[in-house]
Amino acid sequence: MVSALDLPEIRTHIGQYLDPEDLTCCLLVSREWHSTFMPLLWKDVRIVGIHSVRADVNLRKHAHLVRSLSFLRILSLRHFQLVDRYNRLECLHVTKTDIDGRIVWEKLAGLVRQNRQTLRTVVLEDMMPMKEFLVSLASQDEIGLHDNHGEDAHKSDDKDRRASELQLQELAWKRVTVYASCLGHFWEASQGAESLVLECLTIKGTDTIGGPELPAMTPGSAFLGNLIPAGTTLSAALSTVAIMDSMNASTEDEDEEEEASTALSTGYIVQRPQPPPSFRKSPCKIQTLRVSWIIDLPLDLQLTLWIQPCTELRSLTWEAFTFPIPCINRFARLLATDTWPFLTSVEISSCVTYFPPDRCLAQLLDAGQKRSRCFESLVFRNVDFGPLAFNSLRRHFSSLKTLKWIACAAKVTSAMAREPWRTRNLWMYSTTKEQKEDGPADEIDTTIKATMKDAVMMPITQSTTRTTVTGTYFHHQQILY
Amino acid sequence: MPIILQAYDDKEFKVDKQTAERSLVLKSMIERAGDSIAPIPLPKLSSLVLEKVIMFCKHHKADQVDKSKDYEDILGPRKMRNGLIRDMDEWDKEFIKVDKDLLMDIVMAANFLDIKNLLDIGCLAIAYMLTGKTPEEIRATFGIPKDFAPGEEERIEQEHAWALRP
Repeated sequence: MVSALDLPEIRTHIGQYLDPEDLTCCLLVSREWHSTFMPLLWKDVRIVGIHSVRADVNLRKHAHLVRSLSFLRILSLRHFQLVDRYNRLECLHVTKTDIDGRIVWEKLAGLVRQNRQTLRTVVLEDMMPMKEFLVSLASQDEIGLHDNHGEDAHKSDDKDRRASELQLQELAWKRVTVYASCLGHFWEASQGAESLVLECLTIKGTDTIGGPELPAMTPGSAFLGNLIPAGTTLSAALSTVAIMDSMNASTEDEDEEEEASTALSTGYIVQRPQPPPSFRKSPCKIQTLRVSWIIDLPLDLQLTLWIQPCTELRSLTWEAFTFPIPCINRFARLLATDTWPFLTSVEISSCVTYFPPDRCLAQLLDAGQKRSRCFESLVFRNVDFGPLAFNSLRRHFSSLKTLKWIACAAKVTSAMAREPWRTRNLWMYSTTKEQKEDGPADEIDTTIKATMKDAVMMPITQSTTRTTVTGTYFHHQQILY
Repeated sequence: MPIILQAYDDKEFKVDKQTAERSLVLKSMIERAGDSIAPIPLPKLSSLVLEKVIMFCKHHKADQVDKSKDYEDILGPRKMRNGLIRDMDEWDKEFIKVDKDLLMDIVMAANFLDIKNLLDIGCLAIAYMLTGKTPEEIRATFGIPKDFAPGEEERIEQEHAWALRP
């Protein structure tokens, strides 16, 4: 009689519930067990701190089994060798590795090149990536482009190139420092991913190059066209116009506002020589984009450099310390002209409650009306959402599936909060005063009650209607006591 | 219309369609046969095991969500060990408290009949039995012969010394 443990598929199933210690014990049971549990034990390798010679000898012996490789707070990669043995990597996670600079980046770049066909997830945290590494992440590697001059050569190469094209599903940069001169390479590395996270990036050097003698401050459309990032040839300049100035200008009257919003209010980027041909060719594949808390890169440039080129965009989360009016206006205009034809989900989060102001949000929502596709999900966090915006929001009710107001209770009244309930297709909905991470349920519940002081019991129209408060689900009976 | 399942000792069990359909194998059989379904012989299953399996399917027949997904979300695949049995549903926990041989047979049946949730909790229970045991203890518990060539075991042990418990 065959026992369950004789079947390799069942052993594998069991193995996923075991930790490395127990997996190792299972390895030593028998030859059959050894062959089942080896791939499980070596699938996910995390190197923390110091990587010794002995550890590496062992690791590279099993390199072909490694699917996910993490370097966590690694001090040195000197002993990490034979990069070419790792060729089935699906996930690469690196945190804080700028101690022995170039060696680290060359090795990491080697890893990426070696695993172009299998790599799906790359997460990079707390670091300052070097150019070599950024180039390796580009969806078309420079190595593959060397004989790309003749049109025929290009055609015959096409198939090979597609095979070696990096197809990232997820790419995340968190707390990463990038020099403005590298932004072109940075974008080239990022735009091939389906989902891109840019979180707490620090952009250095935007205010050191160039000066007031650079071209005029009102970029026409041609100028904007040239703003596409351009690798090492890119230089950035920060204008002397302060954010507050342009904002004041824009609030004075309508005409002036129009002008101010066409201009890039705080800085601009000029590209000098033409970029290499590859830049135009590699398409932007980003469908989900999160741009959060970028340090030292004005919002205008975030919009121009990162958000505008994402023509495939489905979902956008934009978090910033503040949203200057001209920038939001430009965003609205780009929305209205269908820059992002597939965009259905937008989240706007700010640090200062009165930005973007009610009027701008209304404009944004109105712009959304002019698009060929409707919004399905809208999230407003800590913004000045008020009656004007609500008026514009009303027209989106029919298409909305998710609507959240988080920490913008100042102007969101109970009457407003009640209205979306009447549209039956809304299935997630919340209005909270403050964001509470994993707080006890009753605490959040009280917050909601406080926010919706005079909310009355509503007939429940759909059983699937539920509320989410930063990841916690409630049935809405609980909220509308 | 009830479905009749026959264990290998010819004992018959009547179950309703919804219960039987927890097993993807039975589900496709029922779909193919339509209304006129003959008793389904399950010669690999003893009546004791089949009874247990039916008990599980009956209890979970109305389940919508894939439980195993939830376990993974909460615990993460590798963090299961300590919270293993504790985080199972109370009913499942009681259900799977069976002796080793019956557990093995249930897991085999779940695998054969393709009942994902049952396979998950069965494997979880086996994983729980494996945790904290030395290779020698595992071999003794499950009656597995040691078939390493001389020196092979030492070599593997050396290579994985980093992961072994001190």
